[in-house]
Amino acid sequence: MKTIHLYVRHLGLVLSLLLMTVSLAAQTIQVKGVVKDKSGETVIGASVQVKGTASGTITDLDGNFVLPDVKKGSVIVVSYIGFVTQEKEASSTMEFILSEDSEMLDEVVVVGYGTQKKSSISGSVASVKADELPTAASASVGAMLRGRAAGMNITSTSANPGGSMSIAIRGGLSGQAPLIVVDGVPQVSSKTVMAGTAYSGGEKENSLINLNPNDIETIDILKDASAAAIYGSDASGGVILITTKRGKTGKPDISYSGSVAFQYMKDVPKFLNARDFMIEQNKVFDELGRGDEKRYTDEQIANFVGDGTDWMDEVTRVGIVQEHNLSLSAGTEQTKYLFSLSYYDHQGIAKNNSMNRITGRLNVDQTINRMLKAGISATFSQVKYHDVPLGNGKQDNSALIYSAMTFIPTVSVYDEEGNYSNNPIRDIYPNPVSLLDITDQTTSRDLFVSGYLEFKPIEELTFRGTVGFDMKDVQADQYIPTTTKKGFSMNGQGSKQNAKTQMNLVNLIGTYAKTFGGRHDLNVMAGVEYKKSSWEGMGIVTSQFPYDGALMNNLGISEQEKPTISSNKGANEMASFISRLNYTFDSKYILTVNLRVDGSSNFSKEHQWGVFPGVSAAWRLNEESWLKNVRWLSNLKLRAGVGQTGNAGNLTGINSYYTVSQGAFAPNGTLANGIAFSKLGNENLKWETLTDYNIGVDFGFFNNRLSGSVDLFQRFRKDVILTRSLMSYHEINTIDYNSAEVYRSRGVDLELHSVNFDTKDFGWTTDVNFSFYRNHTTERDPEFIPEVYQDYVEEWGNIYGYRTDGLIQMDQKYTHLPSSNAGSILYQDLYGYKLDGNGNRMRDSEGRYIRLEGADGVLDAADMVVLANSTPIPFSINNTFRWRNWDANIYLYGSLNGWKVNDLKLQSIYGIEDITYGVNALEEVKNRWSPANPNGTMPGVAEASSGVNPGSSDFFLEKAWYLRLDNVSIGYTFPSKWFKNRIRSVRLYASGRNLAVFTPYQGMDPETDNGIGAYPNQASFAIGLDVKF
Amino acid sequence: MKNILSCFALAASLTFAAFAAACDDEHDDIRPGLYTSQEMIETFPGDTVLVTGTVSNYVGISSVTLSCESWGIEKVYDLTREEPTVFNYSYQLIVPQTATFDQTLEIRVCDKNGLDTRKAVVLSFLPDMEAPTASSVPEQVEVKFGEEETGKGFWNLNLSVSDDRALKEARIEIPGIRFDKTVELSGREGKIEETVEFSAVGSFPVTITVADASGNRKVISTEAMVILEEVENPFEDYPQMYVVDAGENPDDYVNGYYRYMDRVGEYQYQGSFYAAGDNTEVFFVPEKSMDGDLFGASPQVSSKLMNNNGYVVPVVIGKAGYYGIWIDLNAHTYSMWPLEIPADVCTEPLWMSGTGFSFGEWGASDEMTRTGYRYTVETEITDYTGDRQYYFYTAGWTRQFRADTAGNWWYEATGGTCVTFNTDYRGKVLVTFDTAAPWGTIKKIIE
Repeated sequence: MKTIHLYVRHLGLVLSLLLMTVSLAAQTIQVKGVVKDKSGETVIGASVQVKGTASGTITDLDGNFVLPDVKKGSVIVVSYIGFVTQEKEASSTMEFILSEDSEMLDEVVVVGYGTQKKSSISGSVASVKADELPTAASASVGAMLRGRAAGMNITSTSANPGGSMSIAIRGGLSGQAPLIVVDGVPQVSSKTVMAGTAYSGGEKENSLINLNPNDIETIDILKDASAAAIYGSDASGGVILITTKRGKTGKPDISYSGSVAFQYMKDVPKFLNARDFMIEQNKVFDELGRGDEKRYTDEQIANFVGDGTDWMDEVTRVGIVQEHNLSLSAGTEQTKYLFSLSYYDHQGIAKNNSMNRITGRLNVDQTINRMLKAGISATFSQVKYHDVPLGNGKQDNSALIYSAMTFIPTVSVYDEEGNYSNNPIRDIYPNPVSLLDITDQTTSRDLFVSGYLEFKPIEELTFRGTVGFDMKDVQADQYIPTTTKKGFSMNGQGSKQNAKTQMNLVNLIGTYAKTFGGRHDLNVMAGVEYKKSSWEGMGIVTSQFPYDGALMNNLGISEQEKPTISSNKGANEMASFISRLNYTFDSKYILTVNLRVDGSSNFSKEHQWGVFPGVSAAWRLNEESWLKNVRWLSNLKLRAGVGQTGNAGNLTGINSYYTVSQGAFAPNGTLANGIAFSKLGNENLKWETLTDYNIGVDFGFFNNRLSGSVDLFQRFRKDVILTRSLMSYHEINTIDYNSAEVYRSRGVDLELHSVNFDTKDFGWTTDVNFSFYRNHTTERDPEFIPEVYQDYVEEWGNIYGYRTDGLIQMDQKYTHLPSSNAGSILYQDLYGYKLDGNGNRMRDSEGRYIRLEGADGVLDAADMVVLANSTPIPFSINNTFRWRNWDANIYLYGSLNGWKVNDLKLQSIYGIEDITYGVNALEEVKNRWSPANPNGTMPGVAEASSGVNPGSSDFFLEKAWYLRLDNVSIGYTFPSKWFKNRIRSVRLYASGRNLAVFTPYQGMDPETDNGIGAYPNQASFAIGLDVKF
Repeated sequence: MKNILSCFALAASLTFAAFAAACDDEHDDIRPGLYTSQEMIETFPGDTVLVTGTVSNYVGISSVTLSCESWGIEKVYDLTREEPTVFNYSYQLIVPQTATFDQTLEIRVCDKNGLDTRKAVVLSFLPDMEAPTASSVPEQVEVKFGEEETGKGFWNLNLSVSDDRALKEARIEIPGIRFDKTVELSGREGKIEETVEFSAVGSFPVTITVADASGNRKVISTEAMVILEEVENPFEDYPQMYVVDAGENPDDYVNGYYRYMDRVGEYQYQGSFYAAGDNTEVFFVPEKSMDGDLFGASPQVSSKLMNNNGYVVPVVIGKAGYYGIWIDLNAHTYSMWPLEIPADVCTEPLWMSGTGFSFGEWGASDEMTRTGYRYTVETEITDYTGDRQYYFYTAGWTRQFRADTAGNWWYEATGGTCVTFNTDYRGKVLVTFDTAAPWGTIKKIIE
């Protein structure tokens, strides 16, 4: 045994010497290297092999690899899924920069109750990657998404912190907001809570504000009904599918991102300074023939120095937005998790106006065994608003911005006693600064939890059960102290309002996916779902407080005899059957069929169930043999689809009910409460339906250097639920019914993506989105009678009104404007009514009065014409640049069409007489017509008594197309070696948001609320830091 | 590391530059503006004077000072906390009793940078030209003559008087009874309390002359109506009263002649009334009848309310318009005041609807003709088996005017009851509705 052992040792020695000799002869080396992607991120788990041998390894958590004993001259092959495989001759230190393989990297798109490869999508689906969106100074994902997908028109309706947005997919024909689905579970819509007092803050964004943008991985928008039909009756407004980030296999990935932004008011209208105010007021007194009521002497005006009190300056400040996000993700093959926290704080440009949000998210995925997998997605958010009163209320109801614009500039903020100064001419207007004393807090909390259990008995079959709930609780508190005019008149007023909403959902989905014979790709999904939404709330508004100190925190001290107390509760349920078939033949021909059957408690038994089918097909022409070799064509896919969605909404139209009617009756001479029949139900109400037709083409040229899609769509909304009037003698004279009206939308969506440059050092990509649509009412109820100026079927967005022709000059008098004098608007008398022999107006076959061209000496409805159409034509252009470690972005969006009444001018000029009561006016009132200024282009004081509303004319109507420079940013990513590889990446950036708006519109903003008193829009300048460990 | 710091420095500089640009101040400081509403103040010792004016500038005002050493005035408005760009001062001073005149009140405004502006206001003496004032005295006062008990009548005169400087005396003259008495007064306010005795009934003119220290006079005239006690019918604390137009015939009305008055206290009632013309005459009745208790004015003393159907005369409303009316049956008095019309009074087109009229059951009348806040429409009362009802509404029923079934209380609501009535009359009627003081009437049209 010992001898054998000795032989072996000798043999080993000999073999070793032999191998060493061979090795020396072949000159092996040790190869060390790193694998990265184009962004500089290390690639973990990439395969590294010596070509032609079995020798190889994978990259470690830092992307590094080591290959010992590699023959000099060997070729190292690095491959990783989704990237183009690279080969290089071996050297002792190597670096591989992998580029994405556009063919192999077939993106996965979330399509509702499952995912599909982008290549096998046949419906109209747009995808947005969240990390491509600028986050700085954006509270809501909605704001970040503006213009990012063709066909999804997002407009800010209010510029206040956390202000509301309108999201309309393909023209918003359904009148419903899109369904938001987060990680497969629909989000419950929030109830807007109003204080029930004279004052309210700006409208708030309810749909996406509770999400931390940094938590989001992708956003997919189901635009057409062939895709959205899978969500049935909830999907008439389209569907936005949000997928949040989840943990990945590997070492812990810790990242921090933060930014701070300064905000400045933009496009604030100029109102008269104190001196001009005094001069113009005196002039207006003269023009009104009330010269003896002048308030200011020439000496007083001559002795005035400065601009007086700038009330806008008194109530506004530089806004500051700061946000901090921290996330931790990691995972093993069995357990993956992601945990994130975020803090967002926006101190608005109006003093005392703020919004802040904290969010927390925990996503966990656990592989239990070969067949079982489970996971949970939990997020909590709290959004707190400190509101200031906003709106267009007048006189004693004036809110902050309106007051600041119009309060008399010749008084100081505080009088000599230290109290808020009053308007000495008419003491009904609140001092703007006093309105900052109002306490108005809204706290919205959202707990959104879903969990799933996935069972995979065989490779092709998966069952997935999901349970989720979304609980929202909104608490709105307000106190109007006695230091304000309104509060003083009521000895203080307090309000507490609460609204709770909850959605519970459970579904079970089975999916079978298999490829037969290598050419037949089949994916079948079927399942059931049950959803219950409930809501409840209560509120109290009371006044007569002995002191202000307790605010609304002790309503019990109110001495009001009968506080206003309200409460409500309700629920609806929906059961659904869901199915989808996706079949792809030979990677060329794709067929998708969706079917959803919804049963809703919102309808009577006869109409409870609605069937919502969707079918679409696609043909990938570039896979055909006769095109496959066309090298410049990377992708060409034709798509067509038709589908139907419905609307059950929050309908309560089937139910009759009574409500307490306050102060409607007067027994014994005093008003009292009573029960009154309030709603007449209609059991015959049934689902509204939205039928959608879509054809589209996806294309890519030159290895997808230029890619995009074009979609043409047409959709019809039928069985529209409207309210009709009943005969006057009914106690309730309205009822909901399914109308015979049909609405139609037609349009085109265009998306283009261009990789203009893509070299190692420099990259430049451009994305262009464009949408064009027109909505029409194409059929009417039989009893519909159009107005004399109206087509029987008409385009939405038409603005009807009088044409005008400047101003009436001295000594001019017009029969059709009996109350208009010099300086009034000259409305045009274009038409008259056709009369029969008895002098009665004649009607045409549609019941419409017949009008005759030519003046008839009367200004009436017959003179109204279509002045313009305000349907927007949204578009966006996004440019991203990369130069070595620098990156930059320029993003513009806008609308090629828009018309708006310039409410600033309208209110200021129309109410010019109010300047005599100390109400300030736009500087442009100086250009009004007057006997001393007959060339003035703005109406004179006579217009207010003309008896015609100038808002119903083209006089103040302005073009409101716009191009907004929404984002300009520049960033620098520091090489990780600067930090000795202890920090994976550090990116520092600066950005400017909403830097400029190019528009002919002269009001406050062509996009956000433009009424006098609207919250001014802001430009933001931010710096931010992204760190990844 | 140097690169990192450079980048941070660049970003910080850009941010600071943006911030600094927004903080730019447009104006250089110049002397503040100073306006005084009076260049000269004429006053007198003990007078209260209000000195007002406006100071203004671009950069912020730190103080406003009003000073007059000889009068001991040194008022400083310290505005350093707010530093407003405009400030309206309003200083009230009391002229010392020992003041010497032709002084100057210096007003100085100083801005936050120390620039100032001064103005001098001359303080000169103002002779007293204002007459004293007195509390109101009715044109007639009732003096009850106790024929059997005392053979006399007594008038307790109680009058408050005041003057902006100093009262001196009041002289009471009643030539009919040779009464002439002077009461010494002093100070700015005083009272005249005298009991005057009358020994016979009749009408006695009274003149009261109040004089101040400077000789300015206020003359008050009234008439003492010395009368035997008037006989009044018994009355109750009725649950309600109605005010009626004495110039109209109740038989001409189908509905709405008797206008309801709320009981607001014991024997006290309040309501409203529209006087269509000057000198409109009204009576007050507790029931919808002119044959029972009827309240009007004493024929001898117009301010006295009393219940004596056939004896009393109507109460006269001097000017046309809307009036609130308050009566106290026990105190035998009444008052009327013009009503302020609310801003949101309906002036929209109005229609009448109801049952028992020629426009059909719950049909609509012709559009009513509006004059001010009063709407009228002609219609016809036709044969009808049920109760007749009516109400008024605007286009689309956005505003509805309804009443309780008895037609006592009209109110605006989105639904509710209607006035319900029955009548034997058939024929044309004029329906009137007033939105300012909601009330509807139906008057026969006799052709």
